[in-house]
Amino acid sequence: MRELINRLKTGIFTENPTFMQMLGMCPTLAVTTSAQAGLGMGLATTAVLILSNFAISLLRKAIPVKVRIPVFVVLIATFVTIIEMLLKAYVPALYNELGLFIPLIVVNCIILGRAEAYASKNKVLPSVFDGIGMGLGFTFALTLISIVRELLAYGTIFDIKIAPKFYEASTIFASAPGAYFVLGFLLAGIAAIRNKKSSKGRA
Amino acid sequence: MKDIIKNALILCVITLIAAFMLSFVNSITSEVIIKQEIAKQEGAFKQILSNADSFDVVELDEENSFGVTNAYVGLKGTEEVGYLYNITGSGYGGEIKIIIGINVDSTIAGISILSHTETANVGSKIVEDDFTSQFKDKQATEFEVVKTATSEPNEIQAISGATVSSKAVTVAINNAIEYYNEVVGGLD
Repeated sequence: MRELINRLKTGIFTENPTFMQMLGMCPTLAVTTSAQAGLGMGLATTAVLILSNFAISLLRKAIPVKVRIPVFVVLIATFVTIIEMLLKAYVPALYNELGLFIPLIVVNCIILGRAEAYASKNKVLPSVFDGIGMGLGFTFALTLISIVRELLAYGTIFDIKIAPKFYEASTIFASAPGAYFVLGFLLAGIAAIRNKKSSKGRA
Repeated sequence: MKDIIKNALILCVITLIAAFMLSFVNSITSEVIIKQEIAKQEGAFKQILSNADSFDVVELDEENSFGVTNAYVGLKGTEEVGYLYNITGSGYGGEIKIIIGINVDSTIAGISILSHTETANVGSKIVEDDFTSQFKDKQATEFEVVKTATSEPNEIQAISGATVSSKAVTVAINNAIEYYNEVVGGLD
């Protein structure tokens, strides 16, 4: 049980895929224009991560080492396509917003990374929790970035007006350069917090 | 050598299982997805084919589509009252997405421009009623763009200064009509 909780903590905080491992930068920068899109993308990726970690861990003894990468890719692509069809059918608003980035989850390096680094070497239950942890970590990161961007760009969060009237919305934060600015400042902030913590630890 | 065959077989089995899973999910979702696509365009559909109360997807004749991307049939109860086609024209500024409706008696029920990137206040006038209503109620035959006042029923007067945009819409509509005549067998 401790190990399972540890997996969650690792994914969300200590090895957060976006803020610590710097993986999956492409969707991180591209879809975080609104809080809803960021959260949706995070959850879609989480679903794929859980399913692919589960299947790969289950089949880990049957998958020959030499063809493991093609097997991983086939499994991941299958789950992504399933999620894509489900979103298109039941959550079309989110599907329209994320568009091309849903099929691109296939090549999100977090998913292949977890398959190779964890699920292919560990038991099913810890692998599922690893998927949940990494997925939630990714979701947390995307949601945080997109909340900041949406607030700065439109003065709203989840389409709810937050900013006071005198705030002049600056749409640069909704475009690509804004994504880099926000990500850069968040990374710097997180690094500052960590440095403070580790220097305290030493003292 | 033995290794290669074994590995290939395992990969093959896993791919087969994946394919079965995909076809299973597809069989559940495909109908819902079609309904979603119709719901998205239903407003435009109802405006064009006002006497239809429901719409259904018609399978396209892919090899002979004349550029038609989606085909729908409008139903009143179970009776077919007209057909709707999605078609894309290439305008002055990019793609022009059009819906055209044709009644069962081979007259044009109406056209609607879904999206375009034509020049504002010039080519963008293709969305206005003055232009689109020129097609309405006419026989589904080939239309021709003219720059002067029209003298024949199949002539469409171009928007002043936007001949390219006007022609793009008309060419797309002609293609859709050709598809209609080919598949549904309208006028000869």
